[in-house]
Amino acid sequence: MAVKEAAQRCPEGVYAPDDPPRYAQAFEAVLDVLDRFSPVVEDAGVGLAFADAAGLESLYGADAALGARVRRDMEAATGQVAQVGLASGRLAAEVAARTAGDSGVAVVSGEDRAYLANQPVGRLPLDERTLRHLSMLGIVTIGAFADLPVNAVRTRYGMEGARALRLACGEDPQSLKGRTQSIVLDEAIDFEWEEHNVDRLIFALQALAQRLAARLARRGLMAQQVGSRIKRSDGTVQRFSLALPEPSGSAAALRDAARWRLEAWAGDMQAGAAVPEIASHHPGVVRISLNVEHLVPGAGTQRSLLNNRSERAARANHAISHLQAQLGDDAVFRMELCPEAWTLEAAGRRVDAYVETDTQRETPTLSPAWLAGLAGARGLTRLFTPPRPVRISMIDGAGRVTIDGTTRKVVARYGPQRMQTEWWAEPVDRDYLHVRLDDGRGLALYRDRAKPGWFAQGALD
Amino acid sequence: MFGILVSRIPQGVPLALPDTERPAALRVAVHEIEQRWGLHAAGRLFGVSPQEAGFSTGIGALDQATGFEGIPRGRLSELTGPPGSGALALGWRALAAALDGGGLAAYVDLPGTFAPTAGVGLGLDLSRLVVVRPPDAETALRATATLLRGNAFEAVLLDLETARPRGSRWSQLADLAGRGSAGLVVVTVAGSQRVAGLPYLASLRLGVACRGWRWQRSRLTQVPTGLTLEVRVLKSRSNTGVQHLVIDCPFMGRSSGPQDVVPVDSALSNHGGGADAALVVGAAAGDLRAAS
Repeated sequence: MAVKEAAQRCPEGVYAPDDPPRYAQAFEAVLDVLDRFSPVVEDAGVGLAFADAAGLESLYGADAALGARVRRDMEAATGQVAQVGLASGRLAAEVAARTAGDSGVAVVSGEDRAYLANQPVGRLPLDERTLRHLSMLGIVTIGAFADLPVNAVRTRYGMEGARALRLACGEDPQSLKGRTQSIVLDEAIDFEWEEHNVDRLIFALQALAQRLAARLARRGLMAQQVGSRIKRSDGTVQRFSLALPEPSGSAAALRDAARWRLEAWAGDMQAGAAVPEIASHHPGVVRISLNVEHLVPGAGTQRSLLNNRSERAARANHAISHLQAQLGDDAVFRMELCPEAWTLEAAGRRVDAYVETDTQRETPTLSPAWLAGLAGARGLTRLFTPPRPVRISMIDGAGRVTIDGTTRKVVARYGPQRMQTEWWAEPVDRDYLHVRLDDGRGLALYRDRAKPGWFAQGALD
Repeated sequence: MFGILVSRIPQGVPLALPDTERPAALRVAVHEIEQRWGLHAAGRLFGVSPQEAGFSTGIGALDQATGFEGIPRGRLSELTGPPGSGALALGWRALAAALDGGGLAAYVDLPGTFAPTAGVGLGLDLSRLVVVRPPDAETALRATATLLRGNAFEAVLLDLETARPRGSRWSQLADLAGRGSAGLVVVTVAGSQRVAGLPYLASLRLGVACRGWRWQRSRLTQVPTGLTLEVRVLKSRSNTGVQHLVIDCPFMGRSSGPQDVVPVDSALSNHGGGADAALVVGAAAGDLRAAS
């Protein structure tokens, strides 16, 4: 309901403006209380937090006693009344907390899967469209969803569906992500001269990284982000920052992250130079600093030790991080198919480039009917995003296609194929035509029947 | 078989060593030479070691013709052909084969046209394929070097399309591929100008030309099922003598075995197109224009 409407209906009400920074500040106090109990506290947004309760029995007794103690201390320290849920995984704990009732503490004593089975499926992290579809299929509880075959869920609802299925089965695939400490550690070196040589700047970064690594080790912390500031003789300051593929406290990881950004910057300044060096007509560097941010507790967050991530996947992530530093985060990615898409341009979506493992995965069951439904999908090794406009014409009795300003003669064509989706799907009504041009190129062309103009969907190459 | 180690400064390696100590001593020697005189000071000449046996393209006759049992690991290969030749489809097929035993692969997508549906159709596991989109050809080569340096990928496919980068980095890329076990495959579109340095450094060069599309026809529709490709072995450092073959490259699934080989003459005579096809297109374009 809009505030205006609420004010009309209830003129006596007191309306406070939305103030997210104030809420975050208030919630910070709540998290500080949790920090007293557990070494790993995950901030899941204002109003929701998770804490690792493993091994706390010897300090606080049974789970119910721990929950009551957290609730009591929270009220005393912040004045906030908390709902506490204790379970093996995050989803079950959250559901337990939200349904705790008057006592404010709920403990899931058995298996998470059994506890979740009767809960509504809407509690899973699924989008509206998926939930609507599940409702049409009569799947209303988490238990019914958990009984679905994994391949079918992955094919129909993609990776998000597969993740939700694991949660429904009581698995929590991700370890708790420790709360970021708002500490920034910083080290700097001042030069008495103007430094132009990038290799010497990297050498300075190495020294700074070693100092920072030692400080992190003393505090038992690891960094998730590395930043660097370069001050030049004209007073300008260049700032870099890079998120690490996983929390790290090693000097080499800190140095490399800063070095990649530095090299990319120096490369931009003098494109094409064999040896990266800041040109002498540019102001030299007089101060270089390195800082680490988003610090997390050292224990329990080094995923490479906890997960079965292989050495090779870790090396791949190192290379991916390097490329993201040089080319930007959007330039490196992986893709997954969207089986719910009805057009070829929407059939793939980008996902995070970092790989969890290099072992072979279960091949997704890709329905040939789905692929066939995406007319023109087969063999299109080049997909134009967005589709490129083309003009089809007739000259001297022969078909011509004009694409990217060039007109070529058509030497073979197949089609047209008509593609119309069913009433329940996103409306798509297209005619597809495969043509081969006289320069050898093969193109898949289409037109939306409701709109004018032809487009090239992609090329066979 | 181990090849011959060539060094500009052949010092410090005892010549008479027991067989058991040879590989370790060689490794030490190569390491020392590279540390003192750079990456290019030592290298291996011809011959294929067991570790370098290639990954299959999924097309038996082609694997046999390359002399490496497919696309070689630890080496630089080039697939080249005119636009629409099918070289990229062949490269993806090789990439999918490289992932068969697990591991990761990377696709350097300079044209920015990666099509995930076609990739899956050709057998690629998208969850283990990292796609890199560099802004220009020079950066594409740098990105490829970064991918190869950590020896984390089974294969790296560099799609240059019509780009012609400078030649200075190819030797570094061949070197980096040789230091690990990754197969580096470069797909280029043949044009008036060759990619400087690449033909010389590539261990395998295949010239690919599309001789026709394969279609599955039904009463209602036609579905493209694959390409008929004419492949020439332009260069192979482990040549078997086969220079020229015509193969079937399906878009979905795999196919292999001797049945892939189609006699060159019959394949060429089956190729359609020409004036008749142009007439059909002319009529269709007219119909479509009238309909729109």
